[in-house]
Amino acid sequence: MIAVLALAFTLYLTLARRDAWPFTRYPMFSSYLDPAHVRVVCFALETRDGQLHWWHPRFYRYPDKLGRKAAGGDTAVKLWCVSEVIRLIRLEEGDTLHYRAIHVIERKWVHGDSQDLTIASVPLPACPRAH
Amino acid sequence: MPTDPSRLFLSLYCGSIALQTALHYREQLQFFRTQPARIYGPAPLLLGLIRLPSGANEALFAFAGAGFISTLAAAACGFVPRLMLAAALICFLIYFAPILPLGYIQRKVNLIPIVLTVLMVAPGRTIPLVKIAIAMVYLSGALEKLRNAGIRWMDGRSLQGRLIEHYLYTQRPQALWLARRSGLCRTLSVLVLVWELSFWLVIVFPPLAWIYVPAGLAFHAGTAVAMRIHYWIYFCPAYFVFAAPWLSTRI
Repeated sequence: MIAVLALAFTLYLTLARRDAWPFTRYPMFSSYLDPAHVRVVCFALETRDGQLHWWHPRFYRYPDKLGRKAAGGDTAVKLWCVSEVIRLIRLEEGDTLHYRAIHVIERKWVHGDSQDLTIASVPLPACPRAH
Repeated sequence: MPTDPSRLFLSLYCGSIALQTALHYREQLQFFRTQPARIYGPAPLLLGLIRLPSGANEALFAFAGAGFISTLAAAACGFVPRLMLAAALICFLIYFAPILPLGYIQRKVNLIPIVLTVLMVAPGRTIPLVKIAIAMVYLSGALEKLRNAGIRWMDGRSLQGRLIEHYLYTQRPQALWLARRSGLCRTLSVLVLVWELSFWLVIVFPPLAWIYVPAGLAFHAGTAVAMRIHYWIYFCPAYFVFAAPWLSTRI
């Protein structure tokens, strides 16, 4: 009876479009996204020798979560996102001394290729932080 | 003498979830230390009502994880399974809530408490009830697509859009390779929606599992390769429910 109630509750949430964790719907990728309207914000790291790398942390969902927040927010939100990127790099690599700057880059899909525009750049200090 | 299919499923399911958690335990602890709540917000309330205790307490989190692994392993071995399943269910709620944003966790673990509840309270009806639980996941996915995008979700362009979005975030070449094949995207979109919408047929006509189950495994393999959506770790062990009746006559 309890098992049937749990399944019935899941069905109710599905039909009523509500979530009550751990009973949830599965709406991922359900909205329509035209390729022409794809626009994302990514973070790139500029190393001291001038090379540019996309930020690929170990926990791979952080870049798109922070990118979505940065895309939908004002300058203050974008700066907060950069501060979180710095925090996560420090947790993973120990410090950010290897990098000269973090660039916030808007990426669009135009005529079958990516088109990138730097919308903000935040320089990073060359010396360790004073604690 | 054949093994009981429900008992076999319990061992396979609990054993594989315990093993997966043991293999990923260190990584999950490291993710906890990144304080995902700063970015994703606080962990969800249990049933939307009750705040869980593990949010900022690493010792409790680590203890709950160890408890989850050991109680599931004990249940898999047949050691007081109902009591162990109840303990695993409590550990699940404390352990997974703060690390839900981790890529291969998210909603992919939400089937676990349902399956554990079924194993605990209805051991004699495990096989059909777990099949229903899996079918409801796919039905939910299909209904959300139809409600949010309508039938045009099947035109393939939305899948292309998702793949391109994923490529722009991750530079993953597999996503771009598939996104550039509009005919294949259209075919896959139709197949995915039809498959999700009709997966419940395996409950009514069990032989259809020979078609739907390999299709499901192929679907999850495809999303893992193209978009790093890993249902293998915590969701796909539930597919043992389709193998258990067949295996039980051969063990």
